[in-house]
Amino acid sequence: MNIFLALLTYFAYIFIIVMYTIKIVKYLRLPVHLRWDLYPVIHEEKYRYGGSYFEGLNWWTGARQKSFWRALRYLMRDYLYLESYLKKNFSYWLVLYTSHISFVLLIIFQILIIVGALLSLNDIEVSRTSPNISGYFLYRFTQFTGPACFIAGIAGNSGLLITRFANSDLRLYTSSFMYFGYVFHIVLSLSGLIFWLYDGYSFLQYREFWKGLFILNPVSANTVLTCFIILINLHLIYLPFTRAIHYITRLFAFFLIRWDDEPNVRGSMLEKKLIKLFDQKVSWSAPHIQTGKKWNEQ
Amino acid sequence: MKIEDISKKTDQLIRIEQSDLMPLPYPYDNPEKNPPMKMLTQEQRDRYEASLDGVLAIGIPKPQSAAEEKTFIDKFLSGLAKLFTKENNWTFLQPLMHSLEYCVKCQLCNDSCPAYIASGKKEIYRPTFRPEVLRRIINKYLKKSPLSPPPSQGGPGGLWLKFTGSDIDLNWITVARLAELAYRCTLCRKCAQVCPLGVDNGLITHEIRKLFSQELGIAPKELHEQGTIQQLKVGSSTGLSPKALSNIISFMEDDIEEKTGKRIKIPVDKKGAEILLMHNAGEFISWPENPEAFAIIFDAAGIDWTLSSELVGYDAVNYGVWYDDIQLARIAIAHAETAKKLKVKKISVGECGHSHKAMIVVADRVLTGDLNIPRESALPLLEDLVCNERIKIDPNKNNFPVTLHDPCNMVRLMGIVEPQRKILRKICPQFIEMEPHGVENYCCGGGSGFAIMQSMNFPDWRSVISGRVKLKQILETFHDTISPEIKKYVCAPCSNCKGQIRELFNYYNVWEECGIFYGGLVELIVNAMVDIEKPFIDWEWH
Ligand code: SF4
Ligand code: SF4
Repeated sequence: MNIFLALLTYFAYIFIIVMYTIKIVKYLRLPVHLRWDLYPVIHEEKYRYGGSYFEGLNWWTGARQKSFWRALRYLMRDYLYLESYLKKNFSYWLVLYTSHISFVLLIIFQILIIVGALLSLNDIEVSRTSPNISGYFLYRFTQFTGPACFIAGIAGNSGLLITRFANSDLRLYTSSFMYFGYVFHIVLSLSGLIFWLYDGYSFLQYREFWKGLFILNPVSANTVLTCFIILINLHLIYLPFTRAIHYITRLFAFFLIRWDDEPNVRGSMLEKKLIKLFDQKVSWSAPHIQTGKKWNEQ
Repeated sequence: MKIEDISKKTDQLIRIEQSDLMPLPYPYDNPEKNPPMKMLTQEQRDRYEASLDGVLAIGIPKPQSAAEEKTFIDKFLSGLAKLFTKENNWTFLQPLMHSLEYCVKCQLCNDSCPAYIASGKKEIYRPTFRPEVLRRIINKYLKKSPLSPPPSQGGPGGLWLKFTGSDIDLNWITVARLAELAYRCTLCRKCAQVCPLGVDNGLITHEIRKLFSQELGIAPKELHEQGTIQQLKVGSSTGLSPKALSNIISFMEDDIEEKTGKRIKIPVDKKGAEILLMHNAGEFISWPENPEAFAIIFDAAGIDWTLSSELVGYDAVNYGVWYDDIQLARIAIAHAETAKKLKVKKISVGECGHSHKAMIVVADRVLTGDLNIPRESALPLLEDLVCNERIKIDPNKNNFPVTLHDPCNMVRLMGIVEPQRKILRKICPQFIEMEPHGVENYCCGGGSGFAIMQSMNFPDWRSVISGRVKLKQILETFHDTISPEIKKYVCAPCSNCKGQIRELFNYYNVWEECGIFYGGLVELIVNAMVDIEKPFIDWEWH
């Protein structure tokens, strides 16, 4: 069992990293597209009312004022409290926000456990009586994030499950796979909560398990922890099959599509890329298209 | 109704009933008094696939044999596959992939869709319905996952597909309905604006249209045969030839003289001019007062400008932007070549929203090298002329209620929001904003080609459904002055929006019942010019 748990954990982490890397690289390697901006574009000077540089006479002659940081701040604010949902649908926001919080806390919890294991390996005690301040605070943070994540996970995902089932508009567009996802999160959170209670609120055994992983010497885990570890690893394997990566792709969608207002300037890199793209053969077969000829020969 | 119902053979998926529609304000608050939508004739129903909503925008003839059905489905699938290849669809691959893969189906976007709310929330008009149908077809018939082949192809797919929510049958009726459904969305992208994840359901509609046009040769004839094909062949989607244009220009010069007492020579094909002004050719035919007003203003301000009489060069429209990337590119290049030949410094686009978007924004990544000629909207120039008093204005001449319609292409999709407002604030003392306005405006209902599509009972659908929210907005804006004795003006600086507003007002008899007129921005400017004695706006309904 020890070996199985260890192998499953290694596999789950490698799997999610590889899968997410593939997804991100695939997304970023897609060719530059025709412009499809949508206003307001937040990095624009006149973003408050949705204005663009096209409002200026001879716009190509003026220097552009572009604030990347403002745009990033805008997106981060939405990450922080899902503002769009809060403004439009409070009850949905409430359950969605709770489940998002649980997801973020789960990531933080895992990081804290891993860092805790590394500290212990370096002879720094992680406990409430630790003489080392890092060990002490790490312990306290873990003690808080763990149960907070599990409680929020149960509440948020139960809320989403009920809301999506009870609201006919949402139900129509909710697949069994999505319901499965909510149930999975609830079960995972429940198992975490049980482990927390069983473990005497310390997560000591889980940290020990991670220590074993680092020194390639898997330690045994009791049944409750085993269940939790299996579920958390399955969760990592399951994530790439969901839309959870939207935390990242959302950034791309705004910066690379919705707010992509970069003009094509003669002799620029962008122009070079476009010339290459026009040099590809088209296989569309409608009568008005010259099938087999290049874009630039149409 | 379930999403998979799109594949079921039924007489009609939904019915449009007056009683279900979004209520309109006074004087259209009694649904029974409003004109009913025209029904298709039995002959039309027998001939075309009309089982979506009993409306026909394209009118796909019913197949005559099983083999014909199969070819149709196979072609659809081959086109769908091409949408995901870089060589065929580099133009929109990234936005398409994002929108297909990352919608979390929260339905936050639903209430921003004018067609959906106006219809009384009919399922098929929901912004997420079309994309969901497409997603399911892709998951079931295109994706190469070991779990996805259906049982008929030796995979465990049936249950798995149901579990993952990809349950749909691909048959002739699904494909034909999807093609029609792609013309129930105006591509206004208001839904995309509210999506927290950057998903764009309008873009997905655009891509469905493209697949039908570029692979199956299916598109509304007003956009394709009589639109882009005709424009490339005879010079304009209106059918206007260079010779006819020349006659119209002479007429315009006479008309200007009659209205203003001034003889202005409209410059045509003037080499090396500062500005090549491009109008939607529909203006020359339906609203010549608009290009006349431009000529009067430019003449008064001493602008060095010209029109072109070159094929395509005198018609700024580019319907390709709504349904076909190849046609878009061909027309954009023809426009740029006109400017290159004339050696003008820049192209300025007149009052036409989609021409703005197509020529200035989308075509920016089509035009390279010496075809990349500076292009801009005419609005900032007009703002400069009016607000910096390069022409003399007396706002009292425009002392009537005026509101502004924001063309989606110019505003939400391009960010030109303030120049037109600054002008109106300066020249119209009774200017009043609609709610919502600016980048949050509602489409007029004629976007993405709807304004020119006249197939069977589609014009009725346009007035009853897609234009309904705009009509409501206009009536609410003029609520306090709704009596027909008080003349009011909706300023719509876009030819297609004007076309739609004209049809909408005709349908509901708005001019007679409420005294609401419509027109462009330059007409208002000329109407307020100090040295033009007679009123330029004639308040004659046309
Ligand atoms: S398009 Fe956006 S707002 Fe609409 S359902 Fe999908 S994720 Fe939600
Ligand atoms: S683009 Fe406009 S018309 Fe189309 S679904 Fe979105 S809101 Fe509705």
